[in-house]
Amino acid sequence: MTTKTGLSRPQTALTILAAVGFPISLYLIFVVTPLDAELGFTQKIFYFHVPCAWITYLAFFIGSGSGVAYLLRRSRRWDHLAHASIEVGTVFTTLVLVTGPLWARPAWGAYWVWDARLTTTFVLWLIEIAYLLLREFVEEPEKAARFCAVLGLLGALDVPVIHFSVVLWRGLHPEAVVLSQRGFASGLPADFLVALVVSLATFTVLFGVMLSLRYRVLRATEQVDYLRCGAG
Amino acid sequence: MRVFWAILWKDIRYELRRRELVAVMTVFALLVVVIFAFAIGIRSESPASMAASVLWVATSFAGTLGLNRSLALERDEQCLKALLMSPADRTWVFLAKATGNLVFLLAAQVILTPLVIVLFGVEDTGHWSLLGVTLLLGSAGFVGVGTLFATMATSTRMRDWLLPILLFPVEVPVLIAAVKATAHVFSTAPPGESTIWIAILAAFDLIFVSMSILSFGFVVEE
Repeated sequence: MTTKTGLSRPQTALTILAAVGFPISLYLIFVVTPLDAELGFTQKIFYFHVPCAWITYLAFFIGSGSGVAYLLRRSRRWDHLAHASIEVGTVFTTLVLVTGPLWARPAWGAYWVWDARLTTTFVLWLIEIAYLLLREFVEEPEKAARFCAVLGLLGALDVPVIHFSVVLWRGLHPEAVVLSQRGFASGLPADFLVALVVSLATFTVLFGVMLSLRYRVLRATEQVDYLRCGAG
Repeated sequence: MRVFWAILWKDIRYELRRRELVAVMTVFALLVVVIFAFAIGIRSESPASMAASVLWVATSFAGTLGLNRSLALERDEQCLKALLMSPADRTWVFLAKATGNLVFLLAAQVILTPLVIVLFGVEDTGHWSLLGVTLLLGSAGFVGVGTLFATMATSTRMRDWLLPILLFPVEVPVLIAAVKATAHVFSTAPPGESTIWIAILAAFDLIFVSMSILSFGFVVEE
């Protein structure tokens, strides 16, 4: 039941990779890629925004998937993984919701548009907050794990439904949706694409580091509680 | 199936004797309507969509109160634990509680909806059966997940505080469809428009209610 001190070998490798990846991404983003013709410097935020959005959804699906695995297997490890993933994911969702409006203001002239993608991310963030609060307010860890797994499962199945419903909700309105400007992958110059891909990879590695560290802390916390209960 | 009727009838009889749940929900919903009228003014360009939004906001808030109360009653005297210890099928226990909550919410809506129609000057388009179906489906989607989450919320340290935080984000699709369907029923649009939204609402209900039924077993296992 003891945990080794220090980082494990894969963790060390991931940490080094992230530490190397970030200067390279920054160099690619700010030095190699030229300024966007229309948007200029503000377009740079996309190299941070898109990876954060990707991590948001990756983390939520790892979190809810681990929750389901917990319900089936009842191993504390799955619950710790679910908890860690949703918690780290919430940080990235917050970053998406902060970096998006910063870009949207100069590009679309408004900080916020009730578009399907934005609305879905916002609602997902609210579900993540609810998940963390729920975990906080249930005393027994086993019960918290079950409740959170159920919420995570419903949330994961809900995300596409929310997206669909918001598309319909907006779709039947004649108002213009500005997002058509956002044709990202199509016709993207090679420089931009390389920077984006490197940035995506780096953020994913960073997420891996944060996830594994948080997972270990959660496990260690539980072991300490266990030992304390045993001693007391 | 006998379990279902027994629990449902118990809830209804309790409510008929005490008359508190529906009364409090209705009064609270009316207060929400009044606050809305003061906050945004009733002379809107489209009274139909305005009335629909107000109706469902009031329903959601009042419904949260009712759900919390209904599950807190089971929790306080350890009734839920006793129910679950009996050999009764948990699916029926869940469906009975959810149906009870649906009956009470609809009872509140029966009083609330005519008042909203009158207060917001909605024209009589004669699609009252469509309105009835919309209210039924919207409330069913709400109490389906609501009963599940209220069961979770009442056994946390925060008790009934947590329910709206859990429920509202997940209910977004049901709410959108319910508001849209109601707005089309209230407006002079051809009934085809509202039946599309009613069909969407029914599809969402199917997803949410079946998900809640499947998850209930995980929530109550002890």
